Amino acid sequence: MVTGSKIPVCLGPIEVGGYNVSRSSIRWLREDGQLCSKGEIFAYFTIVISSKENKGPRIILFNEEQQDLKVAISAPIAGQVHQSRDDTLGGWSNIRQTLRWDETDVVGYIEPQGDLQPKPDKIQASLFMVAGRRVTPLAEDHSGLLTGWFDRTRAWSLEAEAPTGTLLSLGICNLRSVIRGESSGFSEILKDVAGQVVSVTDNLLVYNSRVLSELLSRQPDGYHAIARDFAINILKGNVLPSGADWTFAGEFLRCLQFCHLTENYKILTRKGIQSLATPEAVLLSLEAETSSTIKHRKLGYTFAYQGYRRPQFPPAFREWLQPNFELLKRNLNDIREDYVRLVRSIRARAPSTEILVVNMMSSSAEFALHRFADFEAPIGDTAPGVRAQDLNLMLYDLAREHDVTIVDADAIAAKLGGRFAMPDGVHTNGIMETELRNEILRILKAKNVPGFNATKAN
Amino acid sequence: MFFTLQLPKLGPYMDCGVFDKLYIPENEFVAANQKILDLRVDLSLTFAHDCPPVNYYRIVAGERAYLRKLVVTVGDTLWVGDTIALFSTETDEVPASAPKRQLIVSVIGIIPEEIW
Repeated sequence: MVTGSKIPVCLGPIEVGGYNVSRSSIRWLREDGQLCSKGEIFAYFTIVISSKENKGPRIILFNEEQQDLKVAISAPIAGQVHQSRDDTLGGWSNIRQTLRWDETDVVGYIEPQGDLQPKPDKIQASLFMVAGRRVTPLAEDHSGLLTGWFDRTRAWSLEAEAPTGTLLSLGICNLRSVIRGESSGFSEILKDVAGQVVSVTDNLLVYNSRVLSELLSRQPDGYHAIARDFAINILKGNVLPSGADWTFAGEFLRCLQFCHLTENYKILTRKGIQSLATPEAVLLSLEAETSSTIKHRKLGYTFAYQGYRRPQFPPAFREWLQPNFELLKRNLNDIREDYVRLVRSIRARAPSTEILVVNMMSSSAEFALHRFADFEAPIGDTAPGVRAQDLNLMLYDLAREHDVTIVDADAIAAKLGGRFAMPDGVHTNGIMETELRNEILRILKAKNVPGFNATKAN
Repeated sequence: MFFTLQLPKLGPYMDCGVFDKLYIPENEFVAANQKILDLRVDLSLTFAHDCPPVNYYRIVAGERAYLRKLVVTVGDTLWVGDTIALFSTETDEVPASAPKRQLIVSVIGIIPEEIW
């Protein structure tokens, strides 16, 4: 029931010719009466888009993301949100589809802050889609929005009208919350833009320039050789692989098989399905370019991982890794050459792709050494501050010569207080995250990347 | 004259560190700019992240002295302000009173050796 100044928030129309759109009831992320800013997600539901055709098997769109295809509802205006009891059925009805999409459905109410004149009878919800592709269908988790083990997560505005574009983030841990935000649902980065944002995380494989170059050039035969070699040799060890080993190994092989840079996308908007080509913009972390990694002795492929993962490797996997890989040292020139190879490979497929690289924090005023004589050259191999400066300079050269755009985290961190903004020199605090996100969006707008070059209508 | 070496606070979120490596034995002379020890600082308790926010530091002498007594052992967790070692200007000096001041040191972040 509508009382006082509460305005009903309606789903609004959606047109997907030849398909039914069904949905779950609403799962609330905010308490009844909680104040929300404009664009803040307050609830979400699951949707399934299935063919109306009776003949033959039913076609489900977004099939590989079907378990985690959600519509997030954000506040179209600032105000107190109130729950719609009629649309919260509870239990599995909040998780799996039980209702048909009806544009008149009231998904909640909003009590505007201040006086809204003229006061509308109803207001259309501001919607965006979030989707997760699970590493395996077994990694099922319905506890929240984009919770679980995903190989790729993405989000876009359902309100997009013109053909939109994609930002693909292959950044490591330092960019995860910048891209996915505090809610993990992309709401912060998509608050004002209608583009698609895709996030791939470094759960096992770190996507540095060498790994990505290899993935782009790897042919099916190359992958088969890796998989065959692995399957034969892991069984030759003294440790019998456990279930944990096979799970780990499965993710290892999946990462080496699949290149996110070559993916096309389908997105759903209120006007129907849009097909999107490969990403218009790719975001990388310079932090991923460690001075050493490992490479396979026989097949030569690179395996880059976060050092803290190593103690987590299961016993048989670890035993297989040690004799089959060797340390690969990468100096500045090696890293530069890897980047050049990567940039050329990306642009050979999609010449207009914008490549953004977040640089490293190189400055900290809290401590310093005034004499480097006791450090062996090159000092950047020992001192991380010097290494960050070296890599940042390398990136400047790369930007100038190969049209790569620097996201200057170093300057932003310095402005925000150095170690206060990046306490360990890598990970950001909330203020820094917001500034970094804004800088990425500013660059995408300046580069005129579709979907990021204008403020969205709703 | 006696000096102490205490665990310095290296950043706003640091509250402790692990004594990782010692470069000089007790009663040895330390020259200015000579490395004394390495520390491992894990900010997980104060600035947790899904991958551990760990930094490594090296403490380097800023003046000449003798390392007279090491108060802690490698692997110990130290809190900011904890005494790590005592130094003296002379090799056979006997401590008669409280240390005059802290040893002058420099601290630099380091990249740990690759374990493979």
